[in-house]
Amino acid sequence: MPDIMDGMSTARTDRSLRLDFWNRLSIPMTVSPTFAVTILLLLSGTAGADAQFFETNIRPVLAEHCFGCHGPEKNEGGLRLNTADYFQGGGNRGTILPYNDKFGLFDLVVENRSSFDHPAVSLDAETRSNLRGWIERGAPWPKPLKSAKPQTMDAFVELAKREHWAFQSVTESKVPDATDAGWARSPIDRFILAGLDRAKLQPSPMADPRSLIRRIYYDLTGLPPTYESATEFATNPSWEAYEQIVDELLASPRYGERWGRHWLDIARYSNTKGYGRGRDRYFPFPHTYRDYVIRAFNEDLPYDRFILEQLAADHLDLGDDVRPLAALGFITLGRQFPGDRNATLDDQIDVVTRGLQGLTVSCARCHDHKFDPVPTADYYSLYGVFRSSHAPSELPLIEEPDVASNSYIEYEHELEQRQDAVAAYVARVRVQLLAEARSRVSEYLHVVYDALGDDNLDDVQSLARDRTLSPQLAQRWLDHLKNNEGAPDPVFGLWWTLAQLDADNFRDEARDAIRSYLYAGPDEERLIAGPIRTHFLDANPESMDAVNEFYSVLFEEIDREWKDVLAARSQLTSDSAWPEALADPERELVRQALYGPNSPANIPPNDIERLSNAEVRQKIAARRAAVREHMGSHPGRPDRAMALVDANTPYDPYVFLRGKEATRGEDVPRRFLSVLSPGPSTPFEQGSGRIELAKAIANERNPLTARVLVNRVWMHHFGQPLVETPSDFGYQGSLPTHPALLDYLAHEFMDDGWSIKRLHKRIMLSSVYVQSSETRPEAQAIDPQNKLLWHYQRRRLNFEAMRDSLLVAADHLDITMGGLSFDISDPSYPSRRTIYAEVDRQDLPDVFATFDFAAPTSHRARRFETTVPPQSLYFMNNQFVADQARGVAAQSCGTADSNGDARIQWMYRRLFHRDPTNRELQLGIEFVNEIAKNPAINEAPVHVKSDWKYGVGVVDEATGRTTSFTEFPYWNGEDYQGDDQWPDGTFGSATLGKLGGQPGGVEHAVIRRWTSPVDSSISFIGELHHHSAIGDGIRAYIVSSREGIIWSGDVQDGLIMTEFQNHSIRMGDTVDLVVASKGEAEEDRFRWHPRLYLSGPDSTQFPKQDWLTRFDFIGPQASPPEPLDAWAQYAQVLLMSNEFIFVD
Amino acid sequence: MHHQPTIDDFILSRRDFLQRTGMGFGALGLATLTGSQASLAAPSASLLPKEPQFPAKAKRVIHIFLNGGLSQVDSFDPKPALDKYAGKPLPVQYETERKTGGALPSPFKFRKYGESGIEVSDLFPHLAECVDDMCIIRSMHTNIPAHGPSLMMMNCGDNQLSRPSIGSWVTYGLGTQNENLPGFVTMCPGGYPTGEAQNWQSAFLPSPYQGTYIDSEHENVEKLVKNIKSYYSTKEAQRQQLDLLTELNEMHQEKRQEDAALESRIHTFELAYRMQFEATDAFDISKEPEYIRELYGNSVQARQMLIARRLLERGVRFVQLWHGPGQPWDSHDDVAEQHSRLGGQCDQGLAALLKDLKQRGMLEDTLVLCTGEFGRTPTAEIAEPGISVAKGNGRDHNHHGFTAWMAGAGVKGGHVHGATDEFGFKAVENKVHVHDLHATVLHLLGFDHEALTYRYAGRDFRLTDVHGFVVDDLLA
Repeated sequence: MPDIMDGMSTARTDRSLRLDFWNRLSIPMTVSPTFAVTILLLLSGTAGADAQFFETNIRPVLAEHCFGCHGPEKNEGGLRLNTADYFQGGGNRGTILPYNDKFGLFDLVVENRSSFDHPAVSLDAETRSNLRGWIERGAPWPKPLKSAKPQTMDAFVELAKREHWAFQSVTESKVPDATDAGWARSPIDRFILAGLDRAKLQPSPMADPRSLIRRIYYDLTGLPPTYESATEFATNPSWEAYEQIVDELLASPRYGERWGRHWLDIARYSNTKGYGRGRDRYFPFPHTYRDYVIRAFNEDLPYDRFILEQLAADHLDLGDDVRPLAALGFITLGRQFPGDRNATLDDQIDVVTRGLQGLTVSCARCHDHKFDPVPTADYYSLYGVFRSSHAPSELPLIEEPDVASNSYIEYEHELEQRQDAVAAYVARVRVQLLAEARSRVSEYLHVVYDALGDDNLDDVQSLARDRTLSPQLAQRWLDHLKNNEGAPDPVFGLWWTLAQLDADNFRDEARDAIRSYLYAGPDEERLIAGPIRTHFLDANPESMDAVNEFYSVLFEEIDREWKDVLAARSQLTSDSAWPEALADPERELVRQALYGPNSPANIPPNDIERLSNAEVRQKIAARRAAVREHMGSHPGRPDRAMALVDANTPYDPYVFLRGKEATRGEDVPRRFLSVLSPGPSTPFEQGSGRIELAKAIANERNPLTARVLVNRVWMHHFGQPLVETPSDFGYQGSLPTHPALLDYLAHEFMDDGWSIKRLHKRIMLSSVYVQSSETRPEAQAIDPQNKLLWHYQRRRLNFEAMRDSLLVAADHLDITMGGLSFDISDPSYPSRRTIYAEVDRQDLPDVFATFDFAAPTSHRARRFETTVPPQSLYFMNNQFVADQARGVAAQSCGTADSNGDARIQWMYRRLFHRDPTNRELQLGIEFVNEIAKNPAINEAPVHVKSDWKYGVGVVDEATGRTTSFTEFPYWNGEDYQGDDQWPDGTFGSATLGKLGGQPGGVEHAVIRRWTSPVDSSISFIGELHHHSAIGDGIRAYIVSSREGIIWSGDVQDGLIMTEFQNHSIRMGDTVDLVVASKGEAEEDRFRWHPRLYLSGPDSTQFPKQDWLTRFDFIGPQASPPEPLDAWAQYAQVLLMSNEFIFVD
Repeated sequence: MHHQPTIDDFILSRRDFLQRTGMGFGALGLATLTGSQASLAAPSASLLPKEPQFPAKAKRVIHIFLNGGLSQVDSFDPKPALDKYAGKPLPVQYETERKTGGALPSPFKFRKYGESGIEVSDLFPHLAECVDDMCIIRSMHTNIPAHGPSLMMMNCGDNQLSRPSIGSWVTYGLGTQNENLPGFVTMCPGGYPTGEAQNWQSAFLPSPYQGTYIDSEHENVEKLVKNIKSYYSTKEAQRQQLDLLTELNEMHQEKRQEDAALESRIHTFELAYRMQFEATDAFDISKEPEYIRELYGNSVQARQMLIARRLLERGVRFVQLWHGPGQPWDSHDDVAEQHSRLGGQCDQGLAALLKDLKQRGMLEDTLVLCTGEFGRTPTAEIAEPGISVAKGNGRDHNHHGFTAWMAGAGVKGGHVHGATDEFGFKAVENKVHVHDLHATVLHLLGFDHEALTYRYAGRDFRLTDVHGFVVDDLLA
């Protein structure tokens, strides 16, 4: 059917031509040598025309001119061109594509512009043009295997199982024969040698002992060795000593902190959810997952077990030690998407599949994977697993509290207080809601009646909304009235009967209806409340409006009566009982309709939240969040796991067409990925199936699990992985540089019982690992990227190792393990290891981003590594570095007899684990002498005297003056308040910060007092915000010592502009910005950070004309930092040096 | 340009390095390198100035964000029909975030301005004078009437997922022209807008492409740029420190073979040293002559616009200016009063910015873009127990139709594109989705939005995902 084929290939060719054009501009030369071509091949297939063109015009040319040196027999420059794989993989100089790249060998040959040593190739113009055109189209190489993408996904899955390297089971690789038995120490070396041999490269000699010991310290612990340990090894280096140090480091608790952090990148660990504000942004116990990971590495938990625990610890028999439940943080600590469960689940699928399997399954969320054998059905099979799992309503304890400890007692006490605060708030809201509900009874009756008339009971809510009634409450009324149909209510039974009548004949029908209701037969004696019976005995209502009116008046009467009873009680002595009912039982029946437990106007406490508006719900949530925050952050808390449990009824997934839940596709079972299942993938049967999923991954027969892991471990040892795309082993991923080695490692790893520590040892006790980092020009020319590992790669410390090393240099490092995270931006910078710093995925602290931390928005395969000026500015000007420099200098002094040479020597030993050279000593001494000549005078401006004071006081409205003013005695680092306990006895809840604060009751208005340094006139502008509908709002004043109150205003739940113009002022006058509580002191938090500015005609002569309260705001002891002395400046230079930050 | 930056862009031999630095630093830029040559294949980021995919007029962008949502019917999209229906239900009604009732006529008067005679309300009297330079898109629409998702859409091209912001994409595509300043600066006086740092995230793009946030209420450069000033040594001493550092680093390097990573780090300290002066200068508006400062006026908005111009002038590629923290333009109540106040805060500065760019010739290659995350309803929001306590004189969010405007490089001036219905509720004519706006902005900068991609997690990502068409009618 040539026409059909032609048609198809034309369409495809158009598409591919277009892609070609952009790929030509964009194909990365080295990163993923195969992907661009693969895309093209998959898209264009073996487009007949391309194949023919290739076979006619390209292959013969290659065969004639290239295969001689780059073919089956020889691979000059590591390059072979005789198959598509070889061609795409490129040689030592990189790949052929893109055609215009400077390393594009082909281009150089084709264009005859050779910038390297390559014999001239003589080709005629037509041949050149053919070659160029072919490459410009993306070099489509008709390779049957990849090009003939099967028609169906099922067939593709089957084909991939057979063909794609990463889906083949891991088998024991044959270790190549060693050509250099003297160098090769381990089987790993022989795999490497084989590659080097092919490229005619020699490996490098062993690194010098000092470099080597520094390398293994950083590699395994992220911390430097001491001078003494380095010297000991350097004096007496031996393979046995080396192995012993490796063992010691692997046994050090610092090891888990280093390698645990690598895992946290994979697990996109973060302390925050990714949305929300304030306390609500935090997960409750994220640190328990971090600590679990550190412990798992330190204890060398077998990797298969590590996976089982992270995916399904809740299904394992843990015995008494339930700490592994914390492992489930792997699933639960991802980014949360409020209102979009599917996005959260997608992240979970992604972290499991890319993180553990090196497969980009998320790409199959909306349609079958474009490039890999992952049908959408597979995505939704996993989706079903995770959707069938959820956080338990109460997170499980993973440690027993020490109930006798003060800290725990304090924790319990505070917890109770916070829980009470929730209950108290809900109770208060309830009072307001009840009052509102009771006072509008007749309106609710009306709306229900109108909804009945519409024959559309669903409409009651929207009708209520139109009348500014609560829709939920209206629904409650409707349900209540309707439910009385069977067993008539003494108060509303009759109402309901009448409400059923035809409105047009109401008057006529009502009379009969009332009679038959009141005089029902003896068998149907009905309880009817007295006042109702009395009224209706003679009533002849015109319409339902009249009925409603009657009910309304009756309820008002009864309500008044009840309130009178209560008021009378409060006049009595306190030991008399509270009244429980109205004296008249008939009237009490009516009261019950308003106050009784079943009254629709009586909202049960549990329904308050549901029936409240968004704002109140938010406030309840905030108070609940305060409870959770306390449970997760108090030092006396018992820790809990961020666990997961299976739903009672598992969710049965179906395909969401185009990723949309609303468009239902075929049903799919919960089961494992088909391409990784040996036979047909069978449905999971145990609950959500998480445990079965975990077992399918942590499985010796899974071809990816071990390969992906050993590749990651290799990457952290050598700086580059064997598979360049560590989280993508699919068709788009890179091919392994050493496939046999990868399989060897994976096989041995599983044979070793999935021990990661043994894997480290296996790698580190090889000659390839201990090579020198020196390069050789001739080898550099052949393999500049060191793909073949002919030397060890010099590496820069990552962020954690860098920060920790600075702390070690100054001997400031605090090695306390585990527990709550610390805030790295805190100016008092806790000196714990960086892995314990809080990671905020919403707003990553600057220093993380500056130093290439893996942003935890989702799973990260690798970190970027950048070299940018903000990193240098950090070293030059940041307080943290300066303080470490100071620490280094101070210590160097303490340990030496203040002789300059001795101090320098001390520093070199501490920082670089070696002695300085004479030249280095000389440079140091010269520097210090030079700097000491001009003592560092801090050019930071001397702290400007503040014109502000912050305190509490009272404004007397009668006199218009501030009658008292007391400065706040306590500063918590951000805000002023009365004491370190807040609220406190004296100042109450009064607090003032740069943006606003909160008055502490009538006697404690909060005041910013400005004292004028000039004679002029001032203007003033700002917005005062108060956001709470509860309570009675706040009152603000601006009070001048010259003229009294010059402005005042009230605000509740909104904002007002606070401004005045040109108030004249003399030097020494004060202006008070006052915010006072009105009657109640609750819910009085405000935001008000106005700006004062000089507006007199003479104002330009003053140095400061603007006072932004926000920026002028300072704490009491703010003082400029101390400059560094000459020795500390010298130490800082050493800390900035490349020797400190790079590891050979 | 699927420029997953390869190291070859900026790996330099020592000789190259010296040559290029001799020719000026433009060649090296904010040099970024992976650990060393052997990890060439590791992802790395460059801020080197780069050429776009095709020649284009626009070289840089300033994005003014009226966060909260400007009301189109009170600013650039006059709808006299609202007067007829005042207080009454409109014949059309679309669902928005909250319930709205009858039509709310605009409290602002519209007048024709300029040769183009385009109508602008008295909300923006100064800006209206520049209308002949402005291209007004009256037919914008987006997906969701809620701030969070719509901010993400306008900034990152997706309602929810973590995607790079438009400023990050542009910086990734074009690099920066001044290695001493960040390539992408985002300013918001007084704190973060709703959505916080996600609005300028680089997501999976390397971190140098992320927006550098600056609280433009600050006047002090130290607060503006992290670690820009040393409290620990004098300038002279710091110079001596760096001289010693260079000497020690060179001795360290002498013992080692050529290594671009080592060289790059040495160089970066020199850049940082000079950045201390350059950045300080860029943010110091007191260096502007009196008449320029008067042109902009004395307000926080004006100051950040003037800073923005100084940054653009110095080669910053993408500057984003937010009106204020949270969502200031969100006038659910008192739209007359609130919009007047907000307009009063930025009108003069906006006009000054356009005039100033024009008089400097910068408007020819600078793209000015002004958007909110959506617009507002022509109907009044009404109270709804439990949901809203609206006073009935404000407007709800409106994603069905809103106005954005552009000016400058490559954009048709004095032009109105598209239209909403008779009431300004829904875009009906020549509709422009946010994705289309993104495609057009990238086009103006010389990029095919389908081809400016980045490979991540197994696939190629782009700003417009699988959407977006360039709106040719906007192009000059």
